[in-house]
Amino acid sequence: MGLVLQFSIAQNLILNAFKSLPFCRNFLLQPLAIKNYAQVVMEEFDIRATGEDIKVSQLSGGNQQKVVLARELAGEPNLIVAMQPTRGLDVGAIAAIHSRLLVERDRGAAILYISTELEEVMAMSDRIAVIYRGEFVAILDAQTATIEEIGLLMAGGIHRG
Amino acid sequence: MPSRYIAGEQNLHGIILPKADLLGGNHWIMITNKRFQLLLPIRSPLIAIASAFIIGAMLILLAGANPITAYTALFQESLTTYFGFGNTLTKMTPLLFTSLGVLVALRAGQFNIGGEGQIYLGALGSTLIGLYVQGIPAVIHIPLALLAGFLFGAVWGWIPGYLKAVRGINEVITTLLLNYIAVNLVSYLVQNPLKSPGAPSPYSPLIAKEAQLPIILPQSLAHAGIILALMAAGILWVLLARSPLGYQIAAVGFNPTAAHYARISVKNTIMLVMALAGGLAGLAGASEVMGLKYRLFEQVSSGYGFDAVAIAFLSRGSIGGVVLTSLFFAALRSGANVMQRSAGVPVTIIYAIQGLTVLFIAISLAVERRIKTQTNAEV
Amino acid sequence: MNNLNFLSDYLIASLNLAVPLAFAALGGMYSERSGVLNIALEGMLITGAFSSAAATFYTGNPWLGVLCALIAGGLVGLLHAFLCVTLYVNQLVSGLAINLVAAGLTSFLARLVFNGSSTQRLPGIEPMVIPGLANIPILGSLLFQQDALVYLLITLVAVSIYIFFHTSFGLTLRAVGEYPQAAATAGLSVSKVRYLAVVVSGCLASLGGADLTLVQIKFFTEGMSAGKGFIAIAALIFGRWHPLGTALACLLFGATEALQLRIQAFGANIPYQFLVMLPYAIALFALLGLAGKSIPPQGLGVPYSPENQQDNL
Repeated sequence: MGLVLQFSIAQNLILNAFKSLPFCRNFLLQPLAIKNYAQVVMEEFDIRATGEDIKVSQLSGGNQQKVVLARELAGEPNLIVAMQPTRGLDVGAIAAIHSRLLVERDRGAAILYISTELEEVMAMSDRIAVIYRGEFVAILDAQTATIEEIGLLMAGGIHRG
Repeated sequence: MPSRYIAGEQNLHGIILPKADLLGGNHWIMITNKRFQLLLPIRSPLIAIASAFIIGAMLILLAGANPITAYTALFQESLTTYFGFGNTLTKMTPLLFTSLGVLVALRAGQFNIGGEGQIYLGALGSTLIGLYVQGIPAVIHIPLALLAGFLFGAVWGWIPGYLKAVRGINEVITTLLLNYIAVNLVSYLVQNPLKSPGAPSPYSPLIAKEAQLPIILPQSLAHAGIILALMAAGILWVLLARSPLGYQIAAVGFNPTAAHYARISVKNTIMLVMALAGGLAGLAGASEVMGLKYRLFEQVSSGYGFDAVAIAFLSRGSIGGVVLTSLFFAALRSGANVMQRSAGVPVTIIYAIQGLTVLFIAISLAVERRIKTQTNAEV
Repeated sequence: MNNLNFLSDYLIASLNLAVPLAFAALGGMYSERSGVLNIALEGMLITGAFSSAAATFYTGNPWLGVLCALIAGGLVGLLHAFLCVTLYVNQLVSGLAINLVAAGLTSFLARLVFNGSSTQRLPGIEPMVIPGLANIPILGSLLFQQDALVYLLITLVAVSIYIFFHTSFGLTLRAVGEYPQAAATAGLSVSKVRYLAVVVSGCLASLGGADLTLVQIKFFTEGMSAGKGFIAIAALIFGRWHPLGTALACLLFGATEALQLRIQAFGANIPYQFLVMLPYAIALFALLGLAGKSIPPQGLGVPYSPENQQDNL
């Protein structure tokens, strides 16, 4: 679990950044700055909770995942590796995560999206890499790839063209 | 739905780190759920203490004494008389220091049972400064001696911290083993190189006057050590609740994996926390030498290190709780001798009662957690 | 001839000193192999020491003392099992609490029972002599002139090896300790196995305490276990949770303690404190030397909760 379940939403959100400004000044944490940041982020990522001081253990799986997402995307990373990001989530949460990742893509981030859900991969990707026996056997263009083609490659068939 | 950890979690080395959550999580929060209105965490410790005292009463009856007289004797002198209260404060000092140490370590998920040994080392360090540094004014000598005590204790705490962080060796065993080594080390030193020439029994010479802590309650034994301990409690509170270091410690304690991926060095945090815990216990030893005994004896601590573990658990991880519980245990110890004299109950019953309180608090915490997770599951 | 006697003497002492350690360590092994951390060995040791001393004191029969130790130890084990397996108390906390309570209670009760009397010499368990074989030099007195508990221990080691590695119960035990989820899926009752293992550990550790009072010292003093329970844990880790390895490790620690008691006879000018420190220091170094290479049962220390079995990511 990438969250500290006993921490609040706000505390989890600053996990990567708690040692620097604006969350930490003069060796002390700045509760106001942390709180404001959390509220902004919860708004932006649609994290549904009654407050930023709620423990994340009380959130639903979808909301927890949104917290993780919010935390990791805060630094505007250039490369995002998303592994099974929507596993176990409800439809609404899945849609939210997908759309947010696409926003990141539009911002210019490179996203490596790893999933076992074929439909999801096809819907989200620009390019699809198929792995067989630990190696990439093909990198297909998402627009033109068909589910049969991908399935064949997954099972070890030979890539045509 | 997220999986719920009851206790313990494998860290990166595949070693089980006990979770700091065993303290019951955040302190003064009202835990409401559908069926129970669990009060502030004070309820469980109170029930635990009460239960222990009830069993203690039965033991006292077994010893052929009257529990009421015994308990009255126990608390009356130590809390209501001037000299007795001074005594209580004196005993509270090492208890508070060491318990703070155990608490800090516990926040990071580490069990520091090495308080005894760290106290001895701290006493040693401050004695050395007190004996071999002469002719400097008290404003320098006292802090210097305290620093020495802290550092000596910190080293003794760092060792098991290092062994745990880097080699994955459970700190419970290493701290315990180090206790025995420390006690014997001090015993040797006090009997040989440090022994006061011509002394009838093993003890060191008096430390320099400038290294002695002043008495704060005239005509009693209470010395400035208690003020230092309370200050330490305050500083620690700010550190743990409001500083990034405190955040880091809590993160490592609750979820070392997540902390690791947030680029927090779990190893360094563990070592730091254990060193800090050792240092605080070292201050306990230093304050005993500098404020109470003014020299190094073979027996520096009579189990303060183990009491500290009990205190840390009873106080559910809150610093205020540690202060109050230290006071309570100090009163117990202070009054135990009176109880033996006037009610004829052996002093050792205190240890039995303390052990029982730890047992009961552990049970009540576990039961509480069960109730919490069961009602959470129904939410 | 003198040297031979000395050596023989030393070996016997090593063996005798190792026995309480070994009982405790083997007890710990059963418990930890089933996945339950047991640092309460110290408390169980002193419980056994006290109960056997008290029972023998009252009845004059050391074997009743042994029986009493078994029962008392079993009860303490039951407590530890109840706390850890049923209540999910953190296993370290439970162990510590039991140690504290045992130390306190035995101290207190000892004052009552023995009334501080120094004429507390207990009838002990005397060595039995196996005729004929006992006359072999060195080995004879070492192996064939020991008290029943030593023979019991040796049998125990052999039996444990057999149980662990050649019976289905042993397999069950190890499965529960390594991967309780799989064991549960296979229909085994994780709780029952753990309860049994921990109760057994209590009995065994307690037996070690009985050995201390009835064979070695024939006396009970407060705190006489002096950290032997913790050395036993170090032996367990050193011996990689294997019956034979653990027993040998205990032998090593016993030899260290025997050395400490004897080195002063050499007239060597080593202060006794360093010798007293020696077993603990060696235990520490043993842990140091083997860390990472000594792998505990994978499920050790993690409480198993049936409703807790969802995929952790």
